Amino acid sequence: MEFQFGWTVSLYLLIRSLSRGLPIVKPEWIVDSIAAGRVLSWAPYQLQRIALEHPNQRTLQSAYLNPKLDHCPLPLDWRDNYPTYSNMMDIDLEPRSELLALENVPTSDNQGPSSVQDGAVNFTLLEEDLKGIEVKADECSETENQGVLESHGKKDSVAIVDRSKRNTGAGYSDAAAAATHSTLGDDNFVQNYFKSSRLHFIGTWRNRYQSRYGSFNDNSEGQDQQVFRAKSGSDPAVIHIDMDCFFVAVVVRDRPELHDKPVAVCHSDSVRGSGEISSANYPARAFGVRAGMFVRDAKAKCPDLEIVPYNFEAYEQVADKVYNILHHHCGRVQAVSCDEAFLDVTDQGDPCQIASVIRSQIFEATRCTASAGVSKNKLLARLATRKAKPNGLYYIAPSEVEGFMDELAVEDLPGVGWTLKEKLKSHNLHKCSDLLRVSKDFLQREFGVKTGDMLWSYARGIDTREVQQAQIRKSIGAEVNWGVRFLVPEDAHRFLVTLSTEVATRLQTAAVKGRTITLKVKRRKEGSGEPSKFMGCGVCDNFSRSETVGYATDSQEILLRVAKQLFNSFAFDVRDVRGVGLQVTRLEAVGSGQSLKGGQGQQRALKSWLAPEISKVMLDESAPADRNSGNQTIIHRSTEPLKTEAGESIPVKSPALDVPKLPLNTSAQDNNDLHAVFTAAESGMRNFIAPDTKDRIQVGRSSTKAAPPPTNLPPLSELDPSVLASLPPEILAEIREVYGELAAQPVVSSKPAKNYLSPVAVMKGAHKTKTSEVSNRVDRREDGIRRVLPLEPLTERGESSRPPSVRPEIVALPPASQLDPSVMSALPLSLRRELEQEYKRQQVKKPDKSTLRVSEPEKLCVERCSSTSLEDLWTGTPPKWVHMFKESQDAEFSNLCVLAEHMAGAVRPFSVVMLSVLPHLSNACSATVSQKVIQSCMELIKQYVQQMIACDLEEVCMIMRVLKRVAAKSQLWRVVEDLITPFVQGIVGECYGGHLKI
Amino acid sequence: MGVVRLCDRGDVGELVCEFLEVCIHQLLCVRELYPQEIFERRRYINTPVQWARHPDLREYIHSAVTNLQPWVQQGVVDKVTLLVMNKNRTLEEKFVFSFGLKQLSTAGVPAQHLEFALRGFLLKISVSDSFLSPLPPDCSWELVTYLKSSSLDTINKDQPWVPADDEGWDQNFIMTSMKSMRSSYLDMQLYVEHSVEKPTDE
Repeated sequence: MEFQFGWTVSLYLLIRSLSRGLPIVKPEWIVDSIAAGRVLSWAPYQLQRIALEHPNQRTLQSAYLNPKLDHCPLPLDWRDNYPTYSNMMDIDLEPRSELLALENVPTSDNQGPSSVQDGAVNFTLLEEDLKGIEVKADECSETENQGVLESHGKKDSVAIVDRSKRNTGAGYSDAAAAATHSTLGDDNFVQNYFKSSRLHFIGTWRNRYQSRYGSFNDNSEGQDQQVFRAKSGSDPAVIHIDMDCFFVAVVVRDRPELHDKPVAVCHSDSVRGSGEISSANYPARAFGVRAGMFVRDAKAKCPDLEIVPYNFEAYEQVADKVYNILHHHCGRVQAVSCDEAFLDVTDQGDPCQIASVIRSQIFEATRCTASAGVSKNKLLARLATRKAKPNGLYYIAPSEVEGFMDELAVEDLPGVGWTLKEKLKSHNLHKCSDLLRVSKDFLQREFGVKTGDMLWSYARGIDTREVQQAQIRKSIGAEVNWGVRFLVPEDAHRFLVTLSTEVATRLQTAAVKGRTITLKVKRRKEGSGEPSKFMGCGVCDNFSRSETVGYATDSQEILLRVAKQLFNSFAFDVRDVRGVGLQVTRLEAVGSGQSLKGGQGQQRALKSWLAPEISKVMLDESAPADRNSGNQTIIHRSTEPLKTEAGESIPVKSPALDVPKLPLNTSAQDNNDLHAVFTAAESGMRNFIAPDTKDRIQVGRSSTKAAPPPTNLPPLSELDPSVLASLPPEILAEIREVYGELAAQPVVSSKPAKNYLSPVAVMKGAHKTKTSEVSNRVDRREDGIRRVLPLEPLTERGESSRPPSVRPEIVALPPASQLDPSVMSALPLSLRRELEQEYKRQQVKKPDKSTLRVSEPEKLCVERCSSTSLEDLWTGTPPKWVHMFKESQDAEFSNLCVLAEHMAGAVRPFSVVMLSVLPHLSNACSATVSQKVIQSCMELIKQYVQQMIACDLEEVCMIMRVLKRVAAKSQLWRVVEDLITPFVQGIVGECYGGHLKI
Repeated sequence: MGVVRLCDRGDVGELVCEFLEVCIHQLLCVRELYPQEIFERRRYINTPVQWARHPDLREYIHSAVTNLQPWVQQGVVDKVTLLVMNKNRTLEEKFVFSFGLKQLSTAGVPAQHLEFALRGFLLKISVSDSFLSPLPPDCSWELVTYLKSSSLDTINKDQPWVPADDEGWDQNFIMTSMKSMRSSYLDMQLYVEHSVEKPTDE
């Protein structure tokens, strides 16, 4: 993006004819920019639609003055305010106005010529279609990826097409014209785009179909039938039903005057005939009218050709009726598309009879004709349908297969397209009989293993594909390749917002979530100019990148964030972008298995089965509220609701909170006996508080078994530490929580580096073998404590609750006097602080110290774990930490979260990002500061400096300065700054030998 | 103005050396190593710069930098420094340009991009006197280039550059970053090292 600074500001011309493609902006832009003290984005000030207004529409003034129409960016007042310019404007406008009059074309249902579609922006709609749409649609309908919608569709938009001007105009002089047709001007572009796309209709129809018949399919014989069939050994029978010219027939059936006349479906019947035909009926086909033809070409061939618009509602109704009939006759229906299906009617009687019954019923119900092909497999059935068309039925008996296939040309085989046909021709293979001559090896060698195999078997009439019922959706996405034009990165980002919303909506409609997000970008091929098709994508290079998020998502925000990241990672000039697609794969059904509840807690995949362990409830009968300070919330939680819901003893509490003094029976757990202590800041907490009945019941059941609930966990020793380290922090935290109870000691003892912990671990292990029951309880008790620790270390103890028998097993901390200060100083700060705090606390009240000592190793272990996850924070684009903290629900991390959010899509250096969120940073800090957060912040900056030190001293300097500023306002950052400054100076000294002036 | 594309390292090196020459002039002027009268105002990549008028001085700078060009193009130049010494020949200040030239993509880069970035350096230099303390009178200066060690064999005979001792600091010094740029084809930073004894007031 070229910006012009200083005096050259005047290049943002106000007059289109002189603008040479530069954006035309309102004069306010200059004034506002001066007021703001910087060059503002001109996008909001752009006069993009000035030349495009329809003369029949409300006057410009009224449109502008109407405050409701703020989406209509017509900055008309400057005409009044700056009368000098208006003359020039008029000159520029006039020829266009004439054009507009010409281009008024009917577009939508049942409207006569020259009617005006009442669109959102009151523009006349003219739809542009793509060549080959029919072909594409067929391919699309065959593709297994039902969700992927190759949207080569069309788009409602104002048509002010002036080809000569456009082609001669250099660069972006057409920007204004493009604005309304493209992503530039229309905020609802994506929605409108899909609203009028036939392919979109086909795609969404599948969703509908699946939601309608999905359950039906499940109840049908399904796999049983397959088994049955294998046993029965009778001949398989497949019917292929295909509606005749579905898109035309449905429209024509209500218009008898069109019967027997050549009719084609196209979204527009413009005078220029630039629309493309998507479907034509048989009379029209007789004239040589084909799908994908331009209307003008079709009319040249067939002057009487009647062009009718789509009627999506009718299509939907008819398709539903058809499928009702199909499902009535057969349990195994594979929907290929809204007008095409396979039926497996093995062992259901004479397939031909079934097919003819279906055909007649379809005609009765819908007044549309269907053709049917019957044979022993899908391939043959489909080929038979081709023979049957129109309105017929063809049966290929097993004995006739050979003869039938021999006659077939290779290109008639499904899967053989133009390229493959040409290749085959070059090998002198024209007919299927020719294919029989060559070996499978040859075919596989020449055309690839899969294709070769396919050709070989198809030529013999072999098709092993089963008639599948509702296929598993593998991906959901949306792609827009028409009308995509951006001028500035903000345009692209705005477009991504709408695109991600669309995809999120589709995900939500389909009730799935996905983990891998792929962004496809079409970029104008270097050197290729504006495509000949108006607003088409032209010759493009395709790029795609994907990113896998840690959990399945259907959230628009996340999609948007990832999409932005991916988009930025391409670093394209946005003006060259011609198409953008966003696709989500690795889908999981929303309600399935380990899947995720709605709302914020959804990311925690482990949560549901770990629920008993995750509870942050802690019983503390001896230490009520006064122990808890600061941000801990104490909830005197009534156990009543839990009881009623679980229908059993209080679920979470019984194993996790039971202490020897308190019997496990329900009666003892009366409301006021229990003080549940919640650490509100702990992330897992929310899940527990959330009224999630299902979870609770589950919890209740597992806990009453009185066994350690997650029995299916592998032993901790089998976990790969490197895998653990690369896990997202939330998951890691959960794993820690599970294992923290089960086997904190293996983690410790398997790490000789932490040998200062091992005695404790060994002791604990030994103890466990002796009196496992007691130790279980103890461990759980500790577990409860440990979770409170990170926030308010070591204040929450239930000392009195500890059974005396356990005490001797615990290794005490050495007396403070025996501590080697040098060892202390070498410890990581977080550990050191904890130890210091611990000693301090012991000094204050010298009560039973044993409890906290037990928890100590576990706590250290926690620290260790969290520090391992802080490695390589800056790898990847965007850096890893952005993911880590962006999703963090932890209130403590809120300032890092803020940072991450701003960093996510940013191309700016970190210091600038940090500076931009400076006020948020200091505000977002919670009152108390936990070690975890300090450490995270430290690591973040430390690693950034390490990365930058060699190549960008300025950035290092900047970040330190920004840090200084934040530190002035926030306790947390002050600590971070204090700690980081010596480190930075050290590393500068190492690298440059000097001392950096900050 | 058409888009000039820098297609290979040669082009980038050429532009970098040209820029270096301008920077040296500019630094000499800003640090007042010569009387202001010998400089004239010129324009380089749309930025006003000071340019020495003395032919010998010009020639010295020009030949030094021009002869550096092959090395810059080969990417063997680690950093180019302008040392400022007081009359006792002890180091006062050291302006360091450090380079990291990368492989260019086949498409090349638009020259404007680099020029845009370089402009930032020039502007920073012109205000550098604000964060540096004034130099003592009678200072002298010299150019010292640090090559990456592997490349000494590339020096040809008629190269006017002579081996130099590493004029290091004999005490602690402070670095002030002036400007850094990072891009896909060139990393460059300019920082100045100066002695601790004259702490500049913030």
